[in-house]
Amino acid sequence: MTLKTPHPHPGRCIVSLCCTLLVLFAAFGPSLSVAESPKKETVVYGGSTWLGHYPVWVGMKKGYFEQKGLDISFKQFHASSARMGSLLAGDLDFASTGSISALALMAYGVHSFYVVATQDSYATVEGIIATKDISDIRDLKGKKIAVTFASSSHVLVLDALESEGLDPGRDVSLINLKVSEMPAAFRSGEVDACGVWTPFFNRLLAVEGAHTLMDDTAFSLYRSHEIGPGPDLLVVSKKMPERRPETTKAFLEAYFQSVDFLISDPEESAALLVDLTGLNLEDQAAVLKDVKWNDLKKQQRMLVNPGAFAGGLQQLASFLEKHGQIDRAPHVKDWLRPDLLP
Amino acid sequence: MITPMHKSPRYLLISAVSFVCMVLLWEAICRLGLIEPVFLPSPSRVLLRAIALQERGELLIHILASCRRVMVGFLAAALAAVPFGIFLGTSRLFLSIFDPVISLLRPLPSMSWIPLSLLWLGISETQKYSIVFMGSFAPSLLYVIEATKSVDPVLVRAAQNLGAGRADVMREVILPGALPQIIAGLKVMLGIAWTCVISAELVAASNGLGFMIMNGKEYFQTDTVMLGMVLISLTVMIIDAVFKRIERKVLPWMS
Amino acid sequence: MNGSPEIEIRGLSKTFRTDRGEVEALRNVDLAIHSGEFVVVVGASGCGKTTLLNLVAGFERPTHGEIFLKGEPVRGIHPKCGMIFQQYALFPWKTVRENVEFGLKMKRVPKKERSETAEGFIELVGLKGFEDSYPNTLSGGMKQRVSIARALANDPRVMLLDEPFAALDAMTRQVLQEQLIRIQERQGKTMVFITHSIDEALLLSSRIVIMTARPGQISQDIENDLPRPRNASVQLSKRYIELKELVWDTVQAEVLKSMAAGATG
Repeated sequence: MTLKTPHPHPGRCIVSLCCTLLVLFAAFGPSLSVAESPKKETVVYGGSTWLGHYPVWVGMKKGYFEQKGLDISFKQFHASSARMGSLLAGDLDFASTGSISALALMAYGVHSFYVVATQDSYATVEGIIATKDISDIRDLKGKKIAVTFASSSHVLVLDALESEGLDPGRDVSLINLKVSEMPAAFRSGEVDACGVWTPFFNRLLAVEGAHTLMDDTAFSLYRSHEIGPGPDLLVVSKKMPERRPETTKAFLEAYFQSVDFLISDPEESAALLVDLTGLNLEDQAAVLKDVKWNDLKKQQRMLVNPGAFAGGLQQLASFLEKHGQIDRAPHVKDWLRPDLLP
Repeated sequence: MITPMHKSPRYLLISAVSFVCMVLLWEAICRLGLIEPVFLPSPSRVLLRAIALQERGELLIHILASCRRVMVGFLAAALAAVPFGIFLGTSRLFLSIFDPVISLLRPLPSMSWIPLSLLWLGISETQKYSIVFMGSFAPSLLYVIEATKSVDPVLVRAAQNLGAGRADVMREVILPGALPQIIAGLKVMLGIAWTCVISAELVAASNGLGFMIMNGKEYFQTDTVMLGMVLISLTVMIIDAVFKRIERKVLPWMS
Repeated sequence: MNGSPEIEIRGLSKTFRTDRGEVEALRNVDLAIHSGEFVVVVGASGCGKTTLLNLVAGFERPTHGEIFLKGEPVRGIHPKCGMIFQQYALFPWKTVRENVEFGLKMKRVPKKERSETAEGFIELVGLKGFEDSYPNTLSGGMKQRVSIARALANDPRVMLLDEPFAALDAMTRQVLQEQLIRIQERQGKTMVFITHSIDEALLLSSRIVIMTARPGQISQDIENDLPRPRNASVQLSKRYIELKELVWDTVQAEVLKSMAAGATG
């Protein structure tokens, strides 16, 4: 508006210029400040404090991406769905997401992204935590169970109930809660059990009388395909390999360099990660101990069709369809691109 | 619906044609693949989603759950706000006593009550009602106070001159005199109650149109999201029409 | 007629406090009105005529002095004097019948009885057939007739009329004036009528009270001895013109005074 004025007053001109700069800085400041060097390729990554994003964070801290001439803009999203929405809108180049969100998008016929890797497994730190008097899944009958709808724990709870012949709609009441709200609800006795993942998993376990009713290792697909109810996926925007293949390759190289470092030096990794997660060093180290990282070699084995993971993911899609979470199970392999791995 | 005047058949015809054209254009844009369905699902896809949900018996549950929350929360707010508002509108002393509380409560969006209401009332239907109540009570109260103040003081004098006592004046003059404005205010508040119920259903809800929209978003089912939006519009339109009926019954002298 | 007058006003003064300071509306007014009198109060606008009525009706409290109705002091709003407002003040949410019944309803008169009484008064003011109409469907003249019926139905001894016909057209006004005279003759009510029309005063009154410009005081108190009915020939009579001149001279002087005051203030 001010720019269109033909002959603005000089004083006002300076003021409006300052204002414009301020606005620009406010809007783009955080990413601009990282992107000072013009030679570097900027890659926008969608993450959060969740452990699935540790490799990118550690890679940034260790300078692996920088060495490849990449500059990472790390954007935080607290929900997988928000992150994937941003990817859809074309704002992200790479992201990591829970597989439920990815499968939901595939089911809706969205082809604007590929799955390139599944970087971690955290089967022992996600599960159902219940009060003392509930010692068996069958005891959940008539109880209130808190789950975050559309999350991996939701899937886990549905699977557990089904395996014992309980109807999630009739035999129990599922309450849609964010994991961060579960400790309070559980402590006050408003819910009898929670489907939850780390670090709230550990926090809930610390509540007097709480115990793990089951964890991901009891998930039906874990037993058959070693796939948890919501494995993390590394996804890439479709236009990345098409338009910036070199950058894509460089990113993935640095990424798995990072995974290797997470495997080989968990202590230093933990120290680097506290900046991201805000956990204390001890808790951070504990979280890391519970995660199994899949290195590059393992990726190739898992993702290449008919690898165990690809089959598992397809099974998960069918499971979601069966439970009415998605309309139709997509052909997952259409989205898998292990060929992009370096 | 917009009510600028009495709607002539011509007006209605043009509106109907424009509506059909709009839907057809929307369908065409989607069919031609100009916009991906995840960004804008076609009307037919939204309709199919409605049918699918209906078959699973979920559609009505969501609609009724939201309607019940709006009705309970809104009616409670209205039942509290009307007598209290009339009382405050006619008593300068009590208005000055309650002014600070009301002024502080009024700007609070219903969303901001969610954390406290969860602590106070737990994860329950009462908590949902309370969000609708808190979102609509203070503004309703202000509408009623203003409506009460707008009653012509000459009418109060006329009534007193004919022997009306304080209670008579309230019942016979202030209440009916303020009623048209109270109803107009409550109609606006009903719309606001719907926005409240959507926020109430964002947290710890497993049904309702707000939940349906949010859950649809989690699964990227834009058609579910759209359907939820359409249903909210339709429900509010129907309730509005019912309200108008009631208005005609309660305010026969206005027509 | 018993000893004490219908209305007795003693040493009445009224001062209003406004944002722009104090305004003295009435100063030291003494007036006695007897049963069956038709007193018309005339005066320049802003001379405190309406204030006088409001004080009699109890809507306002005097600053000094007292008002007695049949010897009883006025201590607040009371239903002894029926007020007719210039803006009719009908309840828009009540039908003609419900409006007229209002005073009786306040007296907890049974529904059937008050309905019969109301119908009688609706007929008296010539509105038969409009019992179930709402006020907003009536003309100004009809509204004022409803208002008169409403006051009469409550059977007050005194009627206070605050420029009741000022907002009506000339034809309607004439009809209503004649109707009011008939009603007064038939019902024998004491009337206190405010107007700024000298013709209206001469036509209706048995006595004319002229007020000075603000602060309002009584400047003249004239017996209107014109014969009734005050038809066209009376209005052309010598006595009518004499009285009109007398009233006009006094009122004109007060109007000029108030205009001068307005110019300086």
